[in-house]
Amino acid sequence: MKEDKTCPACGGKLSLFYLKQTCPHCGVNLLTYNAEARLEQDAQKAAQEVEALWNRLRRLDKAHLIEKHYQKKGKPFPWEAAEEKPAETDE
Amino acid sequence: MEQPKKEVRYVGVKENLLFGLANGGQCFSYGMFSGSYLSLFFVKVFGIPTGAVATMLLILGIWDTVNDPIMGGIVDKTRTRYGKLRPWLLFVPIPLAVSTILFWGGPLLLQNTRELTVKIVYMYISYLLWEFFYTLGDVPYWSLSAALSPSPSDRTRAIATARFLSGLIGGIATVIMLPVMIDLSNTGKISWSLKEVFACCGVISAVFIVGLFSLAGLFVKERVVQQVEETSFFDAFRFLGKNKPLLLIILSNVLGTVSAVAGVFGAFYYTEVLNLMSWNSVVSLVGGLGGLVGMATIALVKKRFDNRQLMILNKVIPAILGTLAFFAGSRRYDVWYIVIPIIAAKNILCGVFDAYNSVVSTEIIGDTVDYMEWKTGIRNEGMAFSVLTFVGKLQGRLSTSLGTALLPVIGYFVTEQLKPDGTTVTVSRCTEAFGQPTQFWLWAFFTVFPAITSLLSIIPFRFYTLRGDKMREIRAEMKERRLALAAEATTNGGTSDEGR
Ligand SMILES: [Zn+2]
Repeated sequence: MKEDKTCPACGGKLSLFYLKQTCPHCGVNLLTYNAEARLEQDAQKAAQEVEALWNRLRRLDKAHLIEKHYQKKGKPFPWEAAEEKPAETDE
Repeated sequence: MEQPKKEVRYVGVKENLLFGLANGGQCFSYGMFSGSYLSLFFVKVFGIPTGAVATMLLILGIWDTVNDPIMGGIVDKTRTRYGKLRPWLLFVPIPLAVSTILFWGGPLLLQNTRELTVKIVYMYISYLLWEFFYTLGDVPYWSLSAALSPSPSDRTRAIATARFLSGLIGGIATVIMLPVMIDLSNTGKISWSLKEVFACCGVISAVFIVGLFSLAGLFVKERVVQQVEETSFFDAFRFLGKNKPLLLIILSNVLGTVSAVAGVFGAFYYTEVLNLMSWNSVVSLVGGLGGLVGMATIALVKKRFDNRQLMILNKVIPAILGTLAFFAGSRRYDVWYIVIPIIAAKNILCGVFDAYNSVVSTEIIGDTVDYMEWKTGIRNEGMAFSVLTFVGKLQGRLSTSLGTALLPVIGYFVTEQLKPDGTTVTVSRCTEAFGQPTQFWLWAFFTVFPAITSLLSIIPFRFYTLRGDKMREIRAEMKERRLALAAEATTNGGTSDEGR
């Protein structure tokens, strides 16, 4: 993973075996720095993976059972969930 | 109909699968240690007298129990840029694999040693080493189930996947690999001695550890970020006393001992009343089907009930099923073609709730960790999860010995003897008690008594405050705090080491 090799704040090199939480070059906390943006990235990646999985299932589902089920319930198709990506969690 | 807002999913399909596979590798190697193969290995393969083996298992059993919270404290003290759990999960697989090979390869390595003392010392050291590294991996692994995502649905999915895959992969070692290999060796189909068979299985275990267990440290992220300051080792113990929901969960487990004791009695039902041990595996296989249904439906069920409600439900419904089964078979409890369908039906249904329970009982520990962070700012996953395994091990030991000691009360007399070749032989005698034959009581202890007494353990949940709405409130607030913390670390770069 490339994020493990450099500091996200100053771009300074970090040894793989450098374990401390703070960057030796700029002193930023490597765990909390930009944590929300990284979480956001993870969420997007997860959504893409889920979408890909659904699409794979959809190809196996020759009788379109999943499609019919979601149509009947009036819910959006699970493979479209990633597009209208939920940026917010809070109610 | 109220539609709960969808939570953000942070853990992808692959990461979730890798987390589960890691548990599979871990349980594969653990299976060899937990089964009845351990005494066979020591006595028959290693050639150590039964007395010395029993003493070792007792002494190291106690150590095995008490060292869990110590590891928990060590884990909680850890602070690195990779998190506090991942460093352990990255480090442990290699020494764990090596100590696994050293353990099972002992008889082969000491093949030419005649001295018993050397063998006994080797047995103690290799067991101690293996147990040390195993715990050092186990505590961070389950702690990771709470730290891998702030979303509860991610945690549910991860725990359910882990439980499912560990059941599948973990079973291979004790149900297929060892029995088949031992059979092949005994019947001379392969030219290997038992020493070589166990050494080979040890190497296979090690491969599973390095190949699968290491996946957790390599690919699963800690997303619930720790605060900067290190806590002291003893802080972890101090905070334990403040974590009231966790104490209630522990109390619930302690009360569950009564039911576990009743379960010990029930284990004799197959051999004493039906005269057939093999029914055990047939019927538990059927129960596995229920478990599959449980794992598949847990996400749906969790939409309707919170963890506290599920903990109660998981006890109440099996209690009802156990009672029904008891009355359904109470007149003909010794006729297999009547009893087996009843037990099978009960096991399928109970299997569903067992599966729910295996997931939710792990997840609520994570809830208490979130709660404590909300209350004090400090997360103690290590301590919280290790206390639970501690109580579980203690309960297992206590209930087995207590249950066996109480057997004469129902007129059942049993003596277990370890034969010189390492197999155990049970000599038993059924009489009667309280005007009913012992067999009747065994049926009752097999069905209704463990079910009813397990209701005791729902009492603490009456006082358990972490309901669904409260947890949502806590998580919303924690999210705000984390945002603030991240923003602070992101903006004023170098001066992030402010005091709290
Ligand atoms: Zn830096």
